[in-house]
Amino acid sequence: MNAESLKGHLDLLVLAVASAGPIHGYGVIEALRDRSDGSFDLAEGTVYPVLHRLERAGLLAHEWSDASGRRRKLYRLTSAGSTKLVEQRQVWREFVDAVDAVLRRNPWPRTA
Amino acid sequence: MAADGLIDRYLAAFAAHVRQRRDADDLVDEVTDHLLTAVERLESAGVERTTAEQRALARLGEPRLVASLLLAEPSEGSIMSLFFSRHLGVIATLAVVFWVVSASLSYWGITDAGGAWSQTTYLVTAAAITVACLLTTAALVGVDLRAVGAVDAAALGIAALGAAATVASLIAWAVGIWVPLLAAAVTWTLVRALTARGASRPFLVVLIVLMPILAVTAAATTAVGVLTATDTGHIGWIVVLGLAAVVIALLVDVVARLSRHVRRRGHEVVV
Repeated sequence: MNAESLKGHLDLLVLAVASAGPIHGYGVIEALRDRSDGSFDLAEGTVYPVLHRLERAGLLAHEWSDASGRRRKLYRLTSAGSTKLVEQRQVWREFVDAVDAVLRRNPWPRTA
Repeated sequence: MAADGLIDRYLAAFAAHVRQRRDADDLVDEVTDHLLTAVERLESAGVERTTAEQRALARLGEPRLVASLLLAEPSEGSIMSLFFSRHLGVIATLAVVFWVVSASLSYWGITDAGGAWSQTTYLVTAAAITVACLLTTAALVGVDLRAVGAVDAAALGIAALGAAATVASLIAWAVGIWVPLLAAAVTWTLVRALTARGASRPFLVVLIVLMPILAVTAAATTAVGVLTATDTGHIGWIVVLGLAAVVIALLVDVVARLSRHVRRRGHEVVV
């Protein structure tokens, strides 16, 4: 799946991944790839701007840790981020249900 | 070349692109951790070290691209808000308008062209130049704040020079005083933009070279006029024209960049 298909959904996916606990940038990329069975194999340089934007919006916060002698930035969901994630999950489910309903209602062949 | 050298060179290039950010060190540390983690993962999967490093670099993307994506995104190290960008754009546009007006009025205000000089035209010219200096100072400080993300010593210095130029410009004919002051503030901003790669290098270098020429010419013009009681009004007008041209070029570039930034951010949908 290309990056264009993910446009508009990446923020939600990143929040969902971060909800599992503190995670660094590479971990987010890895989790998106693994949890989608390789479908969301993103250009890695595009993920950090999303993390920074979500942090600026107050949905993520960060802390620095030590990893093998180097600094590692770990992102975690804030309470505002948790609330937003719940809201966006609901919005996404409604969207998927609506699309699914439209796709299932195939009008052809007409009998009238 | 060894792959270690490749990663070092990548990080050096990335650091150069983000160095104007207050949180540049944090950005570099984050990218460093990303690359080394990627290499470790690939190595643990059996990929040879050199290949692993090359793949990690390729997957992250060119340093300039990664840096530009991050720089386009405001964070704790930058105060580039949409609100701020719009207001800075308005101030810079107004400054351009006032420089066009000032450069035009100066012909009648500080020269005796056609014998049309009057105290009224002089006062109107002085007022227009003062407003132009004030708006330019505000725009220069804004550009500096956008680039660095904080009020630092350079921003205060540029503000002080601009404020002094604004006050001095009330005596519009004394181009030897206010032009060098404003030229210093503009040059300081241009040098910072050059360091931060804020605009094209040849463009900035040309403007930086012109500034001291204008400043020295302005000082000499006023000195000669005062010491020899000679009318140097026409030279003064040319100096004002030159200063106006350089400042307008700089501010138009700023406005063009800001409008692109605002359009991009304005259409962005954030969850």
